[in-house]
Amino acid sequence: MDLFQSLALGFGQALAPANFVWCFVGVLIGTLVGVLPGLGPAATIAMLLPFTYGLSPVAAMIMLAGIYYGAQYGGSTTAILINLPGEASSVVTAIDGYKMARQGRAGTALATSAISSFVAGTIATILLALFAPALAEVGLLFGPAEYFALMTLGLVASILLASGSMMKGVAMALAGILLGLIGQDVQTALPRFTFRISELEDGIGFVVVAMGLFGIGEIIRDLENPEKRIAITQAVTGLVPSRADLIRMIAPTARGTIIGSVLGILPGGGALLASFAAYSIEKKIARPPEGMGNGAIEGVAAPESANNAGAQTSFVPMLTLGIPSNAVMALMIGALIVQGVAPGPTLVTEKPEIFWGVIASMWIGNAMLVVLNLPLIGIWVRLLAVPFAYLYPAILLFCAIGAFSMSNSTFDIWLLALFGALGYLFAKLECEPSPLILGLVLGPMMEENFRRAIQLSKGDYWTFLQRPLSATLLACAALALLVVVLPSIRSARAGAFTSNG
Amino acid sequence: MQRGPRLNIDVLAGLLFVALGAGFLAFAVQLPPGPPRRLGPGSFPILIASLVIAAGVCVAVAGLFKRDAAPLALDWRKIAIIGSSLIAFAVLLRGAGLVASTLALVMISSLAHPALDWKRALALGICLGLFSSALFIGLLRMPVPVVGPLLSFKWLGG
Repeated sequence: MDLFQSLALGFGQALAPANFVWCFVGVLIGTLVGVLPGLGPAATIAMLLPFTYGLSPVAAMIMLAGIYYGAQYGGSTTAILINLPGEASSVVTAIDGYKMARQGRAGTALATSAISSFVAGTIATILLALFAPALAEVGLLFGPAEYFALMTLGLVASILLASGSMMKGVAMALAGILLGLIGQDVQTALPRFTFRISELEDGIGFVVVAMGLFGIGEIIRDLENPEKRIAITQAVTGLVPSRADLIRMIAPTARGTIIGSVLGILPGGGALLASFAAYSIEKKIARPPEGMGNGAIEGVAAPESANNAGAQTSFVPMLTLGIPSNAVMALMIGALIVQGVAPGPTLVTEKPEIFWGVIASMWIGNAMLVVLNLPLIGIWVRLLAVPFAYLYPAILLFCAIGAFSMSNSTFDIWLLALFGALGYLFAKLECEPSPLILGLVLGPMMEENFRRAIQLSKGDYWTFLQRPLSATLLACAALALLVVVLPSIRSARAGAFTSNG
Repeated sequence: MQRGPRLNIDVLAGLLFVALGAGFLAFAVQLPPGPPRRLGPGSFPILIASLVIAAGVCVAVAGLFKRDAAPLALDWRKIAIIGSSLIAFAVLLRGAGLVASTLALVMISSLAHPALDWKRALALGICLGLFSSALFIGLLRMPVPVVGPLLSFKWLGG
């Protein structure tokens, strides 16, 4: 199939009425959770995942993807208007975006964010279509040893990106793998770590864990200092940017798109890293440099295009190799597996309608977001006034219903309560939950590939280092861990997280 | 220079990982490890559990030498409120139905927020109960009753 045939198939899927509607629902919910602080895309996708079981795989993926990139959009809206980034990836947007709003240029900042995101989304979609199939072909060369090495690399990358102590990240990822081993052994069907509880034989659902750690844990933490009153002062005007503003946007948007696309493809990458990197590069090349940080349009265009491009290209390792690059992608893999579709190199050729349908839907979804975000900005702003006191019981309820719906079992609600308390504890212990979720999803796959590799090599553990591709990937992982231990890089990394967060 | 508290968050986090790893290890060694050529169900868990213990020791030891690490301060009351609101929901769901269990969840969880008095919580609980019944049972066919057998029993019996 050539590129145009593939894209035609994709757009055919994405424009089918049912899928089109689900795409709209996805970006709408995404924008909503992006605007509402305290509820991230990971918790939302975990909450809604059980309800996608009735949809076709294409529709489910299109909607969940819409939530992910829709949340990036919504997050920037609050970052600009009230200096409160709805999502971590729009933290840097708040620096210049909020300054612009204070100067009475809120409309221009919002328009810049929407336009640069749309442009970046369009370009990233084309890049995805061009490069993803090639990556899938590389994936076909992978044996069990290579898969194990690649997943190790992905886990290491997620540790590097987690804020806080490295060693805690390593421990969290390993603990996640351990929790993933609960349930029946794949090869012998022997129950492991189940304590004779029949509900545990299928393993702990990662959706419940994700909802507990991200959703419930976050609620308990927010309740510690309730009601920070939010005041939105001025009405938003001037949504149409001037010609001069548009010209100033071009270069930073282009740079942001490139940075975002590249960082999104790397395992462990994604929107968060992309927006930080794009902002610091703009800061380096800005002329005059004093402009950045004081309401420069470049400071909005670059990180916004980067986080959107990164959000889109992070689908590449997920769809073509089956390796999630962050917690949201880990949930997507879970969604695909539940639908009976195995993500991996064969997905592109065997289920082209899913692969190309999702890619095409991203472009359509991005267009919907421009339409949603610019004229409907008033509604989103009003939503910000909903007090947290009315919000958190509803979030609790939807998490509980979501957990129950996984397998119509109240046992999962008990687990949800347990992991909610754990999530709060982890937050207090300054342990980032993302590596744990990734470990939990990857754990069973890592064990299976590890055991198969050992079996193929007839008990020789050196096989991981003797096969060139596997050795290279493991070397990258080891190198990445070593590099971060070096003090200079460690302090720069700490700076990126503290100065802006 | 003054030292921070001995049991700071890093030491506690490390101990938590050590306990988790040790717990899994204790059960993993009882699983058949399998011959070396073909690994059994026990070998990979033993490997990972040992690594978790090692990582936990590293975190804890590093924490002992850290001067500025904070002590652990947990809001046990809020953990208990949110936890029990979820458990009440789980216990009541099948027997009392979605509306009553939602009401219980909202009423109990409202104790964690000063701005939610019982009247507002009651109103919010009823609204959410009806809304979620319409959405999840009506539209998405969740297999639980709106009003469960526990609540309709006295009407049927009388």
